[in-house]
Amino acid sequence: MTPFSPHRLDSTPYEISRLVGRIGGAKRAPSNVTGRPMVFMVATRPRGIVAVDLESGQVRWRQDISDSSSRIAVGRRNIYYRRKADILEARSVRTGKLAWRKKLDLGAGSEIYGIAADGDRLYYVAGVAGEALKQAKWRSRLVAVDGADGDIEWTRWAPGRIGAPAARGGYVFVPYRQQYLSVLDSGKGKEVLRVRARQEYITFARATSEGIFFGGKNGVFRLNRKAASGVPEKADYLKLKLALTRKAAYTGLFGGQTKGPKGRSEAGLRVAYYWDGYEPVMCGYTAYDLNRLLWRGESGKRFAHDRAVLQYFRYFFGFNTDAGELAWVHVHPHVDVRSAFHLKDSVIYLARDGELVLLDGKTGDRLWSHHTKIRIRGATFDAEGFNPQGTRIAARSIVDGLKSIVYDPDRRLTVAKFFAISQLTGLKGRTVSKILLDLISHRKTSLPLRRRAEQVLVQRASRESVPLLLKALDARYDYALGTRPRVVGPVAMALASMKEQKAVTPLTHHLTDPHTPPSTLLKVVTAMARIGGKGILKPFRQFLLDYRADSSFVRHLDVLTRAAQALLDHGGVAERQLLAFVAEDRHSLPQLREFVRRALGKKTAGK
Amino acid sequence: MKRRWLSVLVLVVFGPTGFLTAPVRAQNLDRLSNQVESTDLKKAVAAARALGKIRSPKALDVLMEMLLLGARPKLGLELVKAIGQHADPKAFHLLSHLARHRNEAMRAAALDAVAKFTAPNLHKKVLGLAMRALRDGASAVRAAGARLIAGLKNAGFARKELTRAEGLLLHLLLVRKDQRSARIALSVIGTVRTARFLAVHLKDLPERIVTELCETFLKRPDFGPEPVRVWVVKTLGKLTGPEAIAALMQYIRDSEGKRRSGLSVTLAKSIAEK
Repeated sequence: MTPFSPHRLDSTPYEISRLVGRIGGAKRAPSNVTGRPMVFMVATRPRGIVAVDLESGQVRWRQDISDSSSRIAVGRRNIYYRRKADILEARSVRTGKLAWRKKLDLGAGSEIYGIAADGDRLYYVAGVAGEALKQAKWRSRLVAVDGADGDIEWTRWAPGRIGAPAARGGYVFVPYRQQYLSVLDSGKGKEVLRVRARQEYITFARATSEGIFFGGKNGVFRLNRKAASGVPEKADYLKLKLALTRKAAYTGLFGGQTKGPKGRSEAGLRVAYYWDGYEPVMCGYTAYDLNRLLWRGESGKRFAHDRAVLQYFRYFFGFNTDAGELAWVHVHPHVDVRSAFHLKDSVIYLARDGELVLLDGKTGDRLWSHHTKIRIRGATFDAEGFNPQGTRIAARSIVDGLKSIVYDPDRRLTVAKFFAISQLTGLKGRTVSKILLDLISHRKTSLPLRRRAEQVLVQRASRESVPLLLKALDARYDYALGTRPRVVGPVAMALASMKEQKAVTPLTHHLTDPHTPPSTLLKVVTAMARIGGKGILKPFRQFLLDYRADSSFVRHLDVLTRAAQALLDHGGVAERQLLAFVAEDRHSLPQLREFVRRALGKKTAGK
Repeated sequence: MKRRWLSVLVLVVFGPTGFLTAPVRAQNLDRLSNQVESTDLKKAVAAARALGKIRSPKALDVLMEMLLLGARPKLGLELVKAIGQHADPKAFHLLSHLARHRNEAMRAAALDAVAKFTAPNLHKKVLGLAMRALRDGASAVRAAGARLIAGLKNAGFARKELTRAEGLLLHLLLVRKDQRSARIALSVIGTVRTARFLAVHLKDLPERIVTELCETFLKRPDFGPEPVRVWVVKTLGKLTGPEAIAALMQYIRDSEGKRRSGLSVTLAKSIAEK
């Protein structure tokens, strides 16, 4: 049957198992002919490709190439990349010398979706899009190229879309029609396997030393006999699951959208398991490389060492995939990270200014670093098994890491700050409360971040933070000193959630402070009402009398109505008499009178 | 003799304390008490003003009760002013409470009413209210606080107690650019500290306020000693505006009129000649 035929049946578990057995495991070693761990960088100023030996830290070679436009694929003897739109080039891994250059006959409207190398063979996928589709006979094609001289070995045409390829062990793996993983034999180009995914879009295929993986934006299938079911529940399916207790905190922060202030959506930190093979732009180094999940598989459905690392610009969040909790945080100072790669035991990354850093994947400790001083745009690592000697620098505590993110002056990274604040919800200790209070009080904190910090402060209120919260209520408005208490509202709500009686006196002060803004006043009244007790009666009585006839409260009537309700709930005869007076006296605000009248009626009926 | 007795009789019967007017006044009070509760704001305000003029504990009680039970903002202001006219220490606690009202006009009115309380035993409490007012966000309230401070000085309150107030006013002037409060209070309580402050921060302060304060200091008979006056004259001499020269000229004229001499006057003359 022709490859990519629509009539091909899904492969059986036996067929998958047999193929996987043939592919076998791979040695954890670099795939290039030197056997040394290397990184191939697309440098800027001037533009070129630079090969750096990671063990020695030396630049092995540099070639000035101004128009490389794809990721670098690393084969055994050569590296491969695209120039402009339709030129493929190969250069020697050892010397950087040009091995060959081929202009591709892509045809109108056709572009490359991805390239992959396995040994001395190169594969690329080209697809037709746009207007050209109307006249095209075929939608896309997978091409195998001899890595030594650039001659095409075979081409397989497909009526549907093929995504970017992965290759290992003499086989090439491609996502097909967003529903399948197709596996072709590299020698003959014969399709030997087709695995269907149900309930999932398949957008990538990935070949690692632990096995072959494929998946989409929701998770990753391991290619083994269980994958034949095509269903996550029955397959070895890797997915970063987050702790349920903090799910609300994560909602919208991981690949979803949630309504922010004034109904605006907040795009979240993306859990992108791999590059989308159907997006031709991802053939090159893009902003996508700055935010994705770094992971490796282990046996079954486990991530290696139960860790997956979310990279976001300069931040790395190491998650315990078993518990779904944050295990470590690493912040690279000042400069964006352009490329990162998971080496199973560690994570290596390259910053824009050319600094290489290796982190322990389990703990986030810094294991090694080296500065190449080369400005880069992107890079491809061929560094399996890289384990250099270096001074281990322990990762900072999660609290410190999150704090540094929250206070990072970089305004681009607001999403990560939201995430960092949300992470603080589950962390205990006064230090965290102090961080949140300082963040809320800080004049330069943006309104959305402040709101989020306030929510977290209330969510994580606990007895041990009570002294700190009470102290925060000592802050006063002072025109002379230019101080303004900014934390009264959330602190009041936090104390109210614990019904802390000691809060009544300081809250009373804010209740009677003329500088307390109406929005905060509402929270103060709400908090005092929740705390309850005899201590709130006198201040509420006087407050209600002072402002029952004040027209400036028409827009903030709920402040008065809550105070009135609290008097009714917690007071006695004297309070009811007062409320009766408020309800009957014609000088009281009409809406307030109506409210109190009804409340008294309900209370009486309730009896 | 007969005429004198007649006058006394008239006074007793018809005068302000005459018992024949008592029932008439009581009727008036009842009428005003009802009127102040009227839904017609104009009538209520007029009644409040009238109650302010009646020197009677009952009138004060009516005014206080209206405020305690909560009044509409415009009426509340008039009630406070009326209470201030009574200047009865009984109302001090209520006015202190109203000095923290959310309405800034009410706060300022309460403080102005407190200013009419001259009893020495209230001075410390008044100072406390004034200091708090100086930290208020509303300019009118700070000005009222400044008036309180000035009033305390004029009432003979101990100068050392006002030192903190002086420091706060100088801070407000320099950092918060609050000239209004400074003008009101520092002109009365300003000491050598203020004079030195003005000289040191001359470049950071508007010329006008420096001129006004220096001019006032030179007019004050209690301001001194003479070396400090010299300092003030020098400060005026450094200013470029015509008001500064006018102030120096006025000082020279006043000194000649009072036959005062001294280095400050001599210096003022030489600066004026230049």
